Amino acid sequence: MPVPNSPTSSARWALLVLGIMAAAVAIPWLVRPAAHDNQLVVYCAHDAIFADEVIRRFEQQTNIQVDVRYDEEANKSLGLTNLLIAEKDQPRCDVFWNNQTLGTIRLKEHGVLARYAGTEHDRIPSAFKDPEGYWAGFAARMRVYIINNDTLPAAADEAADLQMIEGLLQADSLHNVAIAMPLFGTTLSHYSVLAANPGLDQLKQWHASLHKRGIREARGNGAVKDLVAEGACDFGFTDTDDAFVAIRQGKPVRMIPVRLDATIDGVRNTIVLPNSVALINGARHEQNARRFIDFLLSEETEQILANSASHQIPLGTTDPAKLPEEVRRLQVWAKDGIPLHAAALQNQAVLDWLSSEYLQQ
Amino acid sequence: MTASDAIMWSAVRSIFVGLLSLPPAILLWRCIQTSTRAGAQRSWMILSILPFFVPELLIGFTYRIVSARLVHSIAATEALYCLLLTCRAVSMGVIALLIMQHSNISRESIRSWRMIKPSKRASLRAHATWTRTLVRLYISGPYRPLLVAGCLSCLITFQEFETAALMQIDRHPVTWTVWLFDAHAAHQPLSNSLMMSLTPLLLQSFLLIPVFMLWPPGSKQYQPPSAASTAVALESVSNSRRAQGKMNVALCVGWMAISATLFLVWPVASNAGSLLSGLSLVTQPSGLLKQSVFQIATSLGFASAAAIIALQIAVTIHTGNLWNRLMALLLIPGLLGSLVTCLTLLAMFQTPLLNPFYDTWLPLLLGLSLTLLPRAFLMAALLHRMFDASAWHSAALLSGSPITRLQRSAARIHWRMKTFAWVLAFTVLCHWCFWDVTTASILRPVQLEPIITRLYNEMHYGRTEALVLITTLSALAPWLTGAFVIMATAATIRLRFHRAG
Repeated sequence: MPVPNSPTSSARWALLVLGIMAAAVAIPWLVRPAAHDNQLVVYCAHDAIFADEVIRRFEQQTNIQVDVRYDEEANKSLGLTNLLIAEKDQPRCDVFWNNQTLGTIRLKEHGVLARYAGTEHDRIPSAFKDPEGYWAGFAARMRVYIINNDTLPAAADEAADLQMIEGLLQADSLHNVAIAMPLFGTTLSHYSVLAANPGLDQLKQWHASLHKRGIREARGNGAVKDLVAEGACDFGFTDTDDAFVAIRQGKPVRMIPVRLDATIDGVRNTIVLPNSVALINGARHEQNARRFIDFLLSEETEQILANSASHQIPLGTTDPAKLPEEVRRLQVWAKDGIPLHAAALQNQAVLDWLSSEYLQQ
Repeated sequence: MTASDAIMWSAVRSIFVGLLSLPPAILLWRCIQTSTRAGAQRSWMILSILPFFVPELLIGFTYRIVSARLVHSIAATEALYCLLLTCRAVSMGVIALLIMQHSNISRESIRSWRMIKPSKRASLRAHATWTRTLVRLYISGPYRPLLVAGCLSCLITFQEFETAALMQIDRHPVTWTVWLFDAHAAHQPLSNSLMMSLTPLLLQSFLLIPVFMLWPPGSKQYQPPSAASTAVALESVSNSRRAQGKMNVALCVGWMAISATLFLVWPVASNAGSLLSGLSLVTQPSGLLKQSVFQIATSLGFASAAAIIALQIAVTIHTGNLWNRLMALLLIPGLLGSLVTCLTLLAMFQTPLLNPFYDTWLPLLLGLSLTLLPRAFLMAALLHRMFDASAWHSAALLSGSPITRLQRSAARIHWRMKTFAWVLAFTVLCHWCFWDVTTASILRPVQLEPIITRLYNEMHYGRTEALVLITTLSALAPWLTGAFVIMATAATIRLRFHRAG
């Protein structure tokens, strides 16, 4: 007796139909030309939904087709910086758009980057670009405290709010305070800044003290935002873009900047973390890459990102009238931003120490 | 928390969940087997295996807020995670029990062996031989389905990654998969990560050995067992020969209510509002819909190709000769989990030999096919198990009739038993492939953004409306394709007989 233990005859026909449908979808992509003059490959660690608009605008203006690989949260196991190092000898990427600067500086040390200081390079303040022209920063985020308004109502002004939060950070128990795991993301940058000033040993003590007193450690800034927004924690360390997500969702939260003990002109520093862009050494589409870098460093791009839901802070000169109110408020805080060069030097030491803390075999 | 601690936590949890999931799985299996009406049997089965089909990513997304609210109790977080895993493990157990066929070793054989127990004066060696044989009889007899079901339940629990990653706060729930993920995030070299995953690999291999040894032979020797004969096999284990029927049904209904609430009702209810808001995005000129449709179509292309490849290999393994059955080795990467498999493939495609294929469609297709293969194998086994040889034979006799109406009936029966079943299997595999975020994000080429990685991004940026809208479109895509093929093939049969008659 025939046993239909495989998809025979009509079933095979059905699968064939599906195969043809699959091919119809896949073939246009498969037969796409490998490389041509109007192409550009960008690795982008910035949030896809915000970067998309900038990239599409560039495509419209230049008629250059941009293929983007985003650094999804899902893919952070791999990390675009790791990927770029792995591909160093045969790069497929032309431009790296990082959502921070410390990782980009690491790439410079590995010889992955090439110098380029184009037409828009001078817009960017020297504190936010490489003196040798290997990378430049633009459109920044900040480290902030996200605070639940229900459990910790706002104080009279920002200074009093900050004093209250810093007082709570000295308490014996931090069970209602959240921070992201510092192994990656902007929390790692935050730690690197602290390793530069006041120093790595003090950072280790601070980290140990936080954990001894029971601080809640989430897997990312988004999770910190959730903990505070849901009222499970009173406040936490996160970034402006995550705080804006909660505010947009109507959660009872507010934010104030994290301020360091270090000062400039008597004002305590904030932590400003710009995006950064760099040309890849051996880029296959170098001319297009240069045009894209100029576009990213332009006022137009900074305005787009300032008006996006993440409300990123322009670093170059921009027309204030074209910026939303939230960003103008952030700009005041960002003026006190600490230069990141010293933090970049500490980044690897911090990562090594944290790896030994968190990733013991 | 060291890697060893994380592995230990995961191992203990998987054993706990594996054991906990067996009693409900047996009860559900029995309810399915003893249902007299085909409709009721189908309903029991669909509800029993439902959690296995709900993507881990969506469950993690739904329960991340609950997990945040439970942050002050590690026990509560772990309990919630264990409950979610248990629901999935029960589904796995039911599928395994449905597939496993009745052993030739009957209860009578075991009873007979017990009767010839050596006397107290017999040598120690005689006692050892007798005991060893008794254990072997149990393992390859009545305990076989339970062992396989238990091992597979433990395995999928041990491998779980996406739900834990989204729920984890203060490193709870502790899992080795998230630990490995973090090691990558901290820029550990790939070689280090692969070394780190050796112990989990060994543990998983330990679980796989009984599965491979006890898996039913290919269909050449296959005789569909009656429900009654298989029931007898398990009754010897559960020691509840009859009765308690109503009690069992009540327990099953209770369990399915919990499982359906956790995996269907709550996720739908908590996201329904966002779906309605998300519908407004369709009309906005943001290009969201157009872009998403393109990404869904491309994902569908890859999922279809991977599902066809995996299904074909699974059928070859299941029905082929000894050489073909050696292809069962291809099941190992998928059984070891997508994270480890993809990292290994990535390392392979970065070597000089395979580097020309790096950043092409090949790694992604290969990764998807390999990770899908164990599930394809389960699907093939399940279809064989459910195949009714007598119905097939009757339909074959009917098709020889000179009466067109009978020929049409025969064709319909054949279509339902063959085409419909296999296209359904294909659709289910496509659905799984669609939601594999780990493989897609690690192995995708630059030019391609599968829809699942976009979903992950939308999730991260809190754009719940867009997320729920795209999720709905994505969830429908494989099923609509399957429905189209099913309707098209049914229409061809109708057309054929319309012309003939």
